[in-house]
Amino acid sequence: MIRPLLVTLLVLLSYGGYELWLTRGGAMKLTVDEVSVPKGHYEITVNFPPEAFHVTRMQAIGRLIEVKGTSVFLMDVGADDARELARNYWIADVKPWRGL
Amino acid sequence: MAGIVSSAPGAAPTPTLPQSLRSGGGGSIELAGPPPPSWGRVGVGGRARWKKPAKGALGIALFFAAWQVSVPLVGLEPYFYPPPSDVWRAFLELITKGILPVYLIDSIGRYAAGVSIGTALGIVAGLAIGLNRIADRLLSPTINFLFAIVEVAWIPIFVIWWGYGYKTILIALSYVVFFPILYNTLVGVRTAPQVYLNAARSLGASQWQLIMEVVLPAALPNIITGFRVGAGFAFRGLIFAEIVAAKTGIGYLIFEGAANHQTARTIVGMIVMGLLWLAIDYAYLKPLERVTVERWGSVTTAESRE
Repeated sequence: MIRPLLVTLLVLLSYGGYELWLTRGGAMKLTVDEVSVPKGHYEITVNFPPEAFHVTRMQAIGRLIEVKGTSVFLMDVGADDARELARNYWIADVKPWRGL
Repeated sequence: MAGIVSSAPGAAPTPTLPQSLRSGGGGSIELAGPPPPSWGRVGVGGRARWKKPAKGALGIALFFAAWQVSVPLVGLEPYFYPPPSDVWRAFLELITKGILPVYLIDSIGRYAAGVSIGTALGIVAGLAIGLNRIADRLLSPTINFLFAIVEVAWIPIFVIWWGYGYKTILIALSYVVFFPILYNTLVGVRTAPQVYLNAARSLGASQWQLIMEVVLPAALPNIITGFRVGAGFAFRGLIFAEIVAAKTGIGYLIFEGAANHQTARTIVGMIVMGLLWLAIDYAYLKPLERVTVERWGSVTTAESRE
């Protein structure tokens, strides 16, 4: 019964490593100064033109204003949600936006 | 004189285990097949060990080569019949875009939760019904009736009751796993050797000790068999539940790919599903089976004799 334990351990370690990698990446894309307000507006740059999957995820955390090329403009995004969004590796950059 | 063999004339008889208790347990079903090729050979174990997976890999490679070659010969649009190179590209794209990891984690999480809940409920219900004659008589017809109603029929009702999303999928998967486990636990409890029960009772075992130390171990091979069947059913159930009631997951990827004319993505979903099942089987089900069913239970395979 050693195999199930080893596989479980390997899966958990891989998952932990993956989450750690995402968190580190997120911290580099969105610095602490940039999320100083509880609810902010952001310009999110995706590595490619976003698909329904990506837009749906962004719509779930804020008001989607516009999608222009690879940029998505979101308003009223909570600080935690912005940090969570920045963790996704398919996001190139998240920066504050002045809004409409 | 079953079980007693005289070793020499005049010598004291040597007790032996009856055939039914040797290599595989009572009333064992021997899965037919030729003896393993490594029998009787010394020094080829290492090579023989790799021969089987190597042949399997070669078979898969040949299949993909034939698929790739057949695409220009068939002359259909990639939408109808995408080549494996397109499927590979779709796979890479799904990873690059972060879709596949999210869907995979969601599916695995739902599957693990559904199977765990269904298994726990199935074992508890199986023991409760199997140990109580009145409950058995009262509930057996209802269980038989419900067992026939597959989860596919329930999902629309579950959606009405609990809406689209996690809860419905979890309930559907638990339902799928519940019945095979329940049935097999019942069979295991009913076929627990009376002689062991009597022996434990005569030694003053309490009801709880009787369950934990006689009934449950006796039923374990059956429970594992039920778990294996239920885990397989749940995997199929997961696909259907995600198609109907989810917006993420591998099942949803399969459905969404077909709906958006991205057939290569659908095939990626199918391949991932197959690989995931192989991984679960290799990592969890096979070892679990080896330490229970093949050791104490009703099945011996050619592999287990190696």
